[in-house]
Amino acid sequence: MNRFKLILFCFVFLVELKAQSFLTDSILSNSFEEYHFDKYKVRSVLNFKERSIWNKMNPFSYVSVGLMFVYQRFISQQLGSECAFETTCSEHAKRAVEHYGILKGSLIGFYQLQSCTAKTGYDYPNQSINDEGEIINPVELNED
Amino acid sequence: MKWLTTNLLVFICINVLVAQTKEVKNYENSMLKIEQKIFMSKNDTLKNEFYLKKFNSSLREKDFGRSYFELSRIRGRYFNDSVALQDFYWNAALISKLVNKLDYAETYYDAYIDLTQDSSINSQLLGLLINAELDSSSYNNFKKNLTLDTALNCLDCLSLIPYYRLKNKLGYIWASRLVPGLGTVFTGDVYNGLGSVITIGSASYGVYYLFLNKLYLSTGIWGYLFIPRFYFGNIRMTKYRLEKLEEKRRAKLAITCELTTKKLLINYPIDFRLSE
Amino acid sequence: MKIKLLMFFLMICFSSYSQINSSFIKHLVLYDLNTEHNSYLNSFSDSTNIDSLDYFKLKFYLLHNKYDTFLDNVSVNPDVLNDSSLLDYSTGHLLKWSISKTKSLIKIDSLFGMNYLNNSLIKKSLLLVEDKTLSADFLPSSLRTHFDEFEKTRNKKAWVGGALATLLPGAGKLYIGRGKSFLGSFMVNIFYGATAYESIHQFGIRNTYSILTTGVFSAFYLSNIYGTIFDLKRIKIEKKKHFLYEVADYQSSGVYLY
Repeated sequence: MNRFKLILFCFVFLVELKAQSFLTDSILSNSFEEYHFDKYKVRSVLNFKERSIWNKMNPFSYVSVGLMFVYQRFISQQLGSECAFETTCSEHAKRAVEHYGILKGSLIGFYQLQSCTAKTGYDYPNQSINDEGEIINPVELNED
Repeated sequence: MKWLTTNLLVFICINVLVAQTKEVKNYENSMLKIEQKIFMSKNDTLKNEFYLKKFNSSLREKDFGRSYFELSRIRGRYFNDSVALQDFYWNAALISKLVNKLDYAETYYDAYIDLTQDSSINSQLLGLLINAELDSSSYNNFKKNLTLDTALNCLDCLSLIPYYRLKNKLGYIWASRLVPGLGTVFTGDVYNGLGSVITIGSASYGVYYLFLNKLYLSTGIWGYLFIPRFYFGNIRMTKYRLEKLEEKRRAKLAITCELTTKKLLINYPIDFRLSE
Repeated sequence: MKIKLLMFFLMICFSSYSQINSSFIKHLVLYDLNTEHNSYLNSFSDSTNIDSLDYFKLKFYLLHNKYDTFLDNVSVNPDVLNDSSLLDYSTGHLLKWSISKTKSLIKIDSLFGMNYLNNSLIKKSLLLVEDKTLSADFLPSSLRTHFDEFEKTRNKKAWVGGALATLLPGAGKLYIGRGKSFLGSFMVNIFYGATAYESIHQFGIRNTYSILTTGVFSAFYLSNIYGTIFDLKRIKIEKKKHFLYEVADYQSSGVYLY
């Protein structure tokens, strides 16, 4: 019982202490937050949630996405290219494979790869261009 | 007796939780009632008083976004009480700083100093925090115009951090131009540097092998497609790594500065001035 | 005891006669006081008999783009469908967000309301994009150009694009309307085709390098054909949405909630 009272007292004391130092923390985070160092963005590996069991069991899907992972992790940094599309060609291919399967997905990926030129943006309407001038090109065709 | 104390403690905890949710509702209701009074009042001075009341209520609840919104409705010329005006300028400067509206923060802070001639360390600390984020010239002007307390001399780092730059950047880039991957290795990223060497080396060897086998068209096409991409990609990667290295070193400096500032804020706290 | 009962009944009467102050709501909207607006509407409990409460709540949901909540409440309180400007505003904004939600609002209006939206520009436009036989004469001239663009794309055939892409890599892109990237697609296919041809000519088909180059070339060539067919579907959806977006803009221009 005494231990319980001690724990409760410490909890209330800590809550009070946190309330007092709220403004100090706000001032510090406001002044120094922009200098926090962010690590390199981690990309997702695989997401087969919406696919059939056949797609989930197909080893070629895993092989292709595994190759894509190796490319993205080791080789794409060496190229350092800038994409006209919002999602990079490799990421688009990966999502297309996850959504449509290995055959259609890779064809869609290759199609985006050969469409990626400096003037591609002129082919798309204004609603498909984001604030940074990149083309919004989702994998799913949303008719709504 | 034990049973009674346990149940009493549980009852107190539940009441504290319920009180917190009730507090939020009471805050919203009180803001609405004040707004209704603002709507009904015809007098600008009375309206200003109600705006100030709303502003202070939102500060008490630490609703900074709303406080700044209410601040924009208040006019200093309708204040009758100079103490209330001083407190308002102080709170306005602090809240403008917290929502990153530094120009307004500077204006309110200057108005506060003109009214009060406050030379306390707390006030000087707030002034330093505002002016350091504006630019180095306003920071230096601020230091010149006020005789700063010696305790605040350690805060020069605030004005130096935004302007920290890595030295000899061109050296790294030229190293990458002469030996692909060398500049990246010098920045500390050994694996990517070695990767550049391997990719360019293997691409070049592949093109040379095609040439030896008299596949001249393939030599031209693969050579044109891959070797310049890998070479310029290597230079771009060195530039990217240099930026990341600069960010990392700046973050390290910022950590030491943050600790210094935190110690000063604990000794000379800055808080809102709200009359009960 | 009697006095307390009397006070109790008086309190109930006063609470049931409290009315929403519409000019106060306009004041809240003018100064963008969204939280106060929400608190004010919530301060009138559901048990009080105020006709206009649902109407103001629906306007609040529309103003803050809470379209799902708006539609749920419209279907429960269809009396609010008597305001034509509210309907014009809501259909204009819903259409920019979701075509199916706009159709459900039109259906609610036809079932429970005055069927005001039956002859509206938006309903006619929605029917027009689905039925090729309907005439577009009702469209104003500013919208006619966007519809003509959509009509041109709607009449394009996927097999024609695929056939053109088969004959000349990249030609399918010119047909479907992605002309700016024709050159890139064409050059890529030519380059990889040339390398595949040279390797087969030099080493024959059973060489690893020949298989690799042929594989890469066929991947780009087949993707050019399939991508043309897939992209045409995307272009049709894009043009349809662009046209309906322009219709929604036209409909909701000059219509204000408050």
